[in-house]
This record gives sequence, C-alpha cells and structure tokens, in this order.
Amino acid sequence: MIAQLVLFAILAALSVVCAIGVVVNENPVRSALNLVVVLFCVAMLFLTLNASFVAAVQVMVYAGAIMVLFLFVIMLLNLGKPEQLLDHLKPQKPLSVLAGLILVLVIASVIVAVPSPHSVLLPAQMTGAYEVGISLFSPTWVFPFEAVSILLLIAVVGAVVLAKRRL
Amino acid sequence: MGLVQAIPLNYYLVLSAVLFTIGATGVLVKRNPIVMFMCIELMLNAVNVTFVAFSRYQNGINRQSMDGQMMVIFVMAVAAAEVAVGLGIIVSIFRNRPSINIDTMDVLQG
Amino acid sequence: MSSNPFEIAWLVPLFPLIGFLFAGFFGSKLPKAVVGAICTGVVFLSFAVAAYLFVIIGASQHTAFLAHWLTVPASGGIPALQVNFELLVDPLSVLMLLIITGVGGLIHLYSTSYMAAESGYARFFTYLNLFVFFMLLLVLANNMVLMFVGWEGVGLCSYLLIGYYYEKKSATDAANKAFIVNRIGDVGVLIGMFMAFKYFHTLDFYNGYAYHQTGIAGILNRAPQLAGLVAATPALSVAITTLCIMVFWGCTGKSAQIPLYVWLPDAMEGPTPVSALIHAATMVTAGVYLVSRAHSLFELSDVAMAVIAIIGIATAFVAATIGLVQNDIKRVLAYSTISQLGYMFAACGVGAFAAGMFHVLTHAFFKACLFLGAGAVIHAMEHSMHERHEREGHGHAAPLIEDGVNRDDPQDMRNMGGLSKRLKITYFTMLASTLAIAGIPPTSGFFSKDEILFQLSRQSWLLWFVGAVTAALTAFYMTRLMYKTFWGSPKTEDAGHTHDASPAMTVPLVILGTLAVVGGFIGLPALFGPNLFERFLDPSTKPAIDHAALTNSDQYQLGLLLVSIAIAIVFVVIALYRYKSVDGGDLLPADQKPKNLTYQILLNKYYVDDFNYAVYVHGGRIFAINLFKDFEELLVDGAVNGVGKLARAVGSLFKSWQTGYVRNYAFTMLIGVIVVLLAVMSSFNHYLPHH
Repeated sequence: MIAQLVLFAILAALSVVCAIGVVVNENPVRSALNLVVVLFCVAMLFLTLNASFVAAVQVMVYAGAIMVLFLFVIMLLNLGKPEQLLDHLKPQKPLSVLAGLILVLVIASVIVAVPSPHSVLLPAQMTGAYEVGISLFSPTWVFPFEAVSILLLIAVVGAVVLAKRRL
Repeated sequence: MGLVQAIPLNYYLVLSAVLFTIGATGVLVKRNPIVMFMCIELMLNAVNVTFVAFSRYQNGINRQSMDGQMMVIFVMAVAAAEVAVGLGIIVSIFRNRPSINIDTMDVLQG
Repeated sequence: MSSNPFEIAWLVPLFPLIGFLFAGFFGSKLPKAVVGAICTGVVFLSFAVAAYLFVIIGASQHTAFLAHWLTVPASGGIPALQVNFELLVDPLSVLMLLIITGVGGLIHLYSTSYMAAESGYARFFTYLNLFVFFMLLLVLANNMVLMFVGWEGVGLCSYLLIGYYYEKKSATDAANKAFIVNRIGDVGVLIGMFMAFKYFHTLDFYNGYAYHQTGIAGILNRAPQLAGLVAATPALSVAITTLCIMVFWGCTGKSAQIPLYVWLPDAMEGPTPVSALIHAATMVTAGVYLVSRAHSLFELSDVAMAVIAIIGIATAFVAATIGLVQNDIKRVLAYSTISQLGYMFAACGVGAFAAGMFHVLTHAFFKACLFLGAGAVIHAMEHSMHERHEREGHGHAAPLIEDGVNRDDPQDMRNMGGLSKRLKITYFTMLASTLAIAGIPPTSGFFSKDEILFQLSRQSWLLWFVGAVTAALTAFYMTRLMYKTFWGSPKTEDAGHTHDASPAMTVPLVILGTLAVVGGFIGLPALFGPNLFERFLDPSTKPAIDHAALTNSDQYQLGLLLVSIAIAIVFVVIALYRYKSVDGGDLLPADQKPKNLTYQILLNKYYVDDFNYAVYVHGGRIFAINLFKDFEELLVDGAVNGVGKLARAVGSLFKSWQTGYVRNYAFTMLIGVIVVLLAVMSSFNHYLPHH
C-alpha cells in the first residue's frame, strides 16, 4: 500500500509539474519535451492500473509517433526560437487562470464528495494484449473497431490533401 | 487469482481533473497554435487516465472490466488521426505567413 | 294591394331609382332622346302616384313599412334601438312629394332640350334621377336615420351636379365648397340624432312598426306632451334647446342660411336646370321641411325658435343687399333664393310653419320659373355669341373685355338688354314670376309673403320691419334684373340677334309661370276666406300655441296687407324709373364705383368669402404644413426611423461579441462548461461535500 502511494505520488507530481511546464514555456520545443515526460508518466500510471497493453500503446503511439510529428512540424515552421508574440487579448490570461481554478474546484468537489474507502481489494491480475484482443473483437466493440479503421484511412488521405502546396 | 490492496479511486480522478484543467487553461492562454494543440493532447491524456482508472475499479473484486481500456484504444486512434489532420491544416495555413499567432486568424470578426 | 293602401308610397322613390340605374348602366349606349324620355317619364310616373296619394290622404297620417334595417340590442345601460325602412305619408310629405316630382318633372322635360348639345347627357340624367330619389327618401322617411340617408344623398348629388362641367376648375372648386360646407352642417344633424336617441330612446318621427313591437312612441308623438316637463326641468330644457340648435345648424348648411350659405352662389357653376331644381325648389328647402316636420320638438324651446327666426330674417336681409349689385344673372337669383329661404325660416321661427311651407310651394313655382327662364336667356345669348365667333373666325380666342366687362360671358346682364321683343315666351313667364317674387297681388308670391309678414308682425315689430325692408329690396333688385335683361336697348349686338327657345323648354316655363300667378289662391289670408292650404297641412304642422286663438282684428290684417302691396308697388316703380333714366345701365357711374364704399362692400359680398379663404383655407394649409413638419417628421417619422436605429444598435451590440479570435470562443466554451456543470451539480446537492 505504502509503496503504491509513494509511486503514485511521484508520478502524479511529475506529471503535474511537467504539464505546467507545457503551458508555461515560451519555447515550443521545450513545451513538446515536457509533454513527452507527461506522456511517459501517464503510461506508468496505466501500468499501476494493470493496463499493460494500453501503457505500451501509449508510449508507442503518443510519445513515439504523435510527439515526433509535433516536433517535425515545429521544425518545418521554423519555430525553434521563442518569439515575442503580440497579445491582442490582454485580459484573457488572468481570466482563463481563474476559470481554470473554478473548473478544477468544481470537478474536484464532485469527486471528493463521493465517499470512497481508503483501501480497496481488487484483482491482482495484469491485463494485456490477450484481454484487449478478446474485447476488441467482441460484439460490443467490433463495430467501432472497423469504423476506426476507416477513420484512419480518411485521416491519412486528408492529411496529405490538406498539406499539399498545390492540388 | 489473488486480491491486492489498491489506493482509492478518487486520487486518480483528482489527478485527471488537474491535468485536464491545466490543459484547458493552456489552450486558452497560448497563442502558438502548435502548443495549443499539445495542450489539447494533454487534455485527452487526462481523460484516458480517467477511463483506465474506472476500468480497474469498476467491477470491484470481480474480474476487471475492459471497457475503459477499449475506450482508451479508440481515443488514442482518433487522437492520432486528429493530430495528423490538424497539423496538416496548421502547416498549410501558416506556411506563408511571417509569424505564428493564432490571433491573426480574425477573418470572422463582425 | 295590401291592407295598407299607403304602401304604394314606396313606388314614388322607386321610379326615379329605376331611372337612375337605367341611365347609369345603359345611358351612354342609347340615343339621347330615349334616355331623356325615360328619365323624365319616371319622374312624371312618381308624380302620378303622388297625386293619387294626395287624393286619398285627407287629414290622416300613415306609415308604410318595408323591411327591418338595424336592430341594436340594449347593452351597458344604453337602451335598444330599432331603425326600419319605413315611410311616413301625411299632408306635409305629400305636399313635398308633389313639389319635388311636379316641378322636378317639368325641369327634367326642360333639360332634355337644354342639355341636348352636351356629351355627358346620360351622366346628367343619371345624377338628376338619383337626386330625385334621395330627395323623395328624405321627405318620406319616418325616422331620422333614413332621412339622413336622403340628406346626405342629395348633398352628394348636388356635388356631382355642380361639378358636372368637371373640366372647369371653378366648377370643381364650387362642388368641393358645397360638399364641405354641407358636411360642416351635417355634424349638427348627427349630434341632434344622438341627443334625440338619448332622450327619446327612438329615432322614429311617428309611431310605426317599432312602436307596435317595443311600445316606445315616436319622437313627435311624445314631444307635445313634454312641454310641462321641459318648463319644470332646466337641465332638460337646455338639452332640448341644444338638440334643436344642433339640428338647425344642419339646416343652415343645407338651406344656405348664415353662416353656411357661402356655397350657394358658387353652386351656380352647375348647369341651369340643376340650379333650378336643387338650389331653388327642392334641396335647399330640405331644411325648412325638417324644421316643419319636427315642429313639435322645436316648439319646446323658445330659445331655439328665436334663433331660427333671427337668423332667418337676418339672412333674408343680408342676401337681398348683396343681390342688389351683382352682374351675373344667376348670381342675382342665387342670392334671391338665400333671401327667400330666410323668409321661410323666419316664419317657422315664429311658429307659422304652414306659412313657411306655403312660401316653399310658391317659391318653387316662381324661382324655378325664373331659373329656367334665365337658362333660356343664357342659351339664346350663347347661340348668338357662337354665331358671332363663327362669323369673325375667332374660334377659341381669349375673351373680349370692354370697359371691364367680359363681352363673351352669356350670363353677364351688362351684355343683355331689349330681349323682351326677341324671347317673347321667356319674357312673359319671367315677368309673371318677377311679379310673384316682388309680391304684387294677386300672384302666389304676394299671398305667401304677405302671410309671413303678417305672422312676423304678431311676434315682433322688429322682425316685421326687417322683413318689409327686405321685401322692398327684393322688388327693387328683381325689377333691376328684368330691366337689364329684357327692357332698354341691347347692350351688345349679340343681344340683338337672339331667338326664343324650343317647346321642350318653353312648355315648363309656361306651366310654372302660370302656377306662379294663380297658385296662391289656395292659401288666402284668413280675412278673405278659409285658408285651404293651412287646413290641409294642419295635421302635420299645427303649432302648439294656436295662433288663431289670439285675437287680431280683420282691420289689422287688412292694414298690413295694404302696406305690403304699397311697398311692393312703390319700389318696383322706383326701380323702373331709375333704371329707365340710365337705359338699363348702372346707377352708379363707372368712375365712382371704386370709391363708393357701400358698393364695394356689397359687390364683394361683405368680404365673407375672402375671410373664409384667409382663415380656413389658407390657415388650414399653414396648420397642415406645420403639423407635418413638427408632428409627422419629428414624431412619427422619428419613431419609425427610431425603430430601425434601435435594431441597428442592438445588432451592433451583438456584433461586438463576434471578435473572430479562436481563443475567445474557446474561453466562452469553457465558461459554458462550468455553468452546465454547476447547474447539473445543483440538482445533486446531497452529493456536495459535508465534512
């Protein structure tokens, strides 16, 4: 129990700190790197929640593919250096921080209001590709699975078409 | 088939809420469209954490439910597609502009 | 025939209505002779029915019901009202029927020849028949509403016929003036109707169909019994007086009394038969008819009767003074009409309603004859001038003005003279009518005017004096008219080339002229024998205070009679002598005319028309322009434009929300999410933290 709490605390703290880092940094590359750390932390959290397959996919897809894509685009648009950007909406910054605080308080108040025991007994077995596979092709999830494949096709075609210099 | 002590669910949910809020605030505050996109990814990840947490805690001592993890699989697939298309759009818009500032896209101003 | 033999009375207005519809729909497609024959024929048919009614009416009074019209149930304290299509047949209405259809028929016959050259021939007869229909409805109606229909209808036809020559601006202006002034008077009749309903709960004159159903007696059935109540209650007395004065106001409009007489001289713009029928014999007598019909109501108010008498005699005098100096033959006759109408009202004002109606009858004879004769004269002058224009090859050149006189005006008496030798029949009939209007015995006019003067003298010497002076003036200006037109030497060569009119025109002239001379014997004054006329009218017009009961010696009446004769003869002779000395020219030399103040005032009709124009027409225009500027432009336009401006402002406000910035939209979304969350949470408030 203690070990789990400590692990959770470390991961939570790290992910929050790096998430703030994503937002606060002026350099987009630094933001991207912070986000990668967040993604790794999230993957660890998945592991603590007995979801090995999802953790692996998280690292491969999110940290491995999506963030690489982000970094490629940053490089393409030549944004290595931090820039002084003109702010048209001065009051937006403090107001959004305020709104964010309100949002987190609202959500947290709901969560905290529901009583949950200090410790729960849960099955210890780690779930992996086997369980994911069984569920993915079960009648509940097979249709979204097929639909997602078409979605990915559309995305591929769309990305190519949209980014072309000349159609 | 053993059982093990686990930390309360609420911890994961609060963490997820905090990450979500940080992402939301980031979307509102940042002017660089790419960084805005990254904050959106942050929000999606927070939601993924929620899903997987529920997947673990849903059935109690019975066999673990896989529904949360399935949702996460799909969310990830859609997020990947979305990033591809979105970044393509950003590239095509800002290719020929001098600066990247989302505030310059004000054509819809009334 | 049904049980009520008087239901045949509905035929009387029906025939002219058929004539109107016929001429209106088919008149323009048929030859003029056919249209003229049919339209004249229907009026004579009505005359035949009226004559039959005259034979059977005796001294009785009957109502003839046709159909229901309005039934308004009682509501909120206001009693119920029933108005029906119902006619009243009694001696007074039969008398008016005979006048309207008889004189009207003769004028229709005259018009078939007079208007023969007009292109709008069918239109003329359409309007004329419609007029006869409305006038008959007016005198036959048994309730105020139906009478008012006829009242308004004759006003409409008057407008249509005055403006018959609609291409002339002066004609259309005169038509507008007549209608508008009439309308101002009609307000009085309407208010009178409202008040009558308020106090009597019915608008019927005498008991009719509604009486059998609801038991509410007619106004004139109840009025004689109210005398005591009115004397005792000041509030009721004031109300009845106001009612009568309001109705009389309407009569001043319709019958051209002060102050609403100004339309009648201008109405001479219409064709002469119109002037004869509408503005001499019938429409203008509608006011006198109404006062006589409602005599028991008017007698309840001494103030109203005094007002009627004073205004009547004042009008008679003022109009006679204006007629002294007018140069247009029709204008002289118009002012003469206004003056004679004043006599009729003066008679009614002192309670001698039968005398007033007698003058209506005789006036119809001689005034219609005078107008028709003037028409024949004008026709003859026009022909002569037309021939001259042909000879000289002028065509449509500008009118020839000599010494300030328009030599191409067929109506100006200064162009006439010596026509007695050339227009013989016209001359003799007009001479007879002039003797009648001047009051020379034994013409009809003498008897009727003398009766009026006698009745005036019994009430007040002042009234008699003004009446006598007016009689003197009447004799004078009518002789002046005759001299300038028929005697003396011709003033222009046109006058020397005239010839007399066709039989269609001369036959009515002869009939009317004869009646003007002999028609008076039915109304002999009391000292010579029974007054058949008054006796005939008694059921309708017998006044509440029986004047016959007041003793006046026969010598008194004889003395007054001789004074009347003397006045008439003396002033005719004076006029003859003075005008002979200037050979029918003007008594005032031309160079003195602008300086003579009296002459200028009379010639300009006491400047009343100029005053009316400056104050009402011009003032009204200025008022309307200012009203437009201040009220319309500022308020109304401002309000309407303001709505548009408001819409634009609201739109601008909403427009400012569309900033175009993506981040703004995202922020709004977040706020929305928070609001929704709070709303959902508030319904699950037992989940809120309680530590």
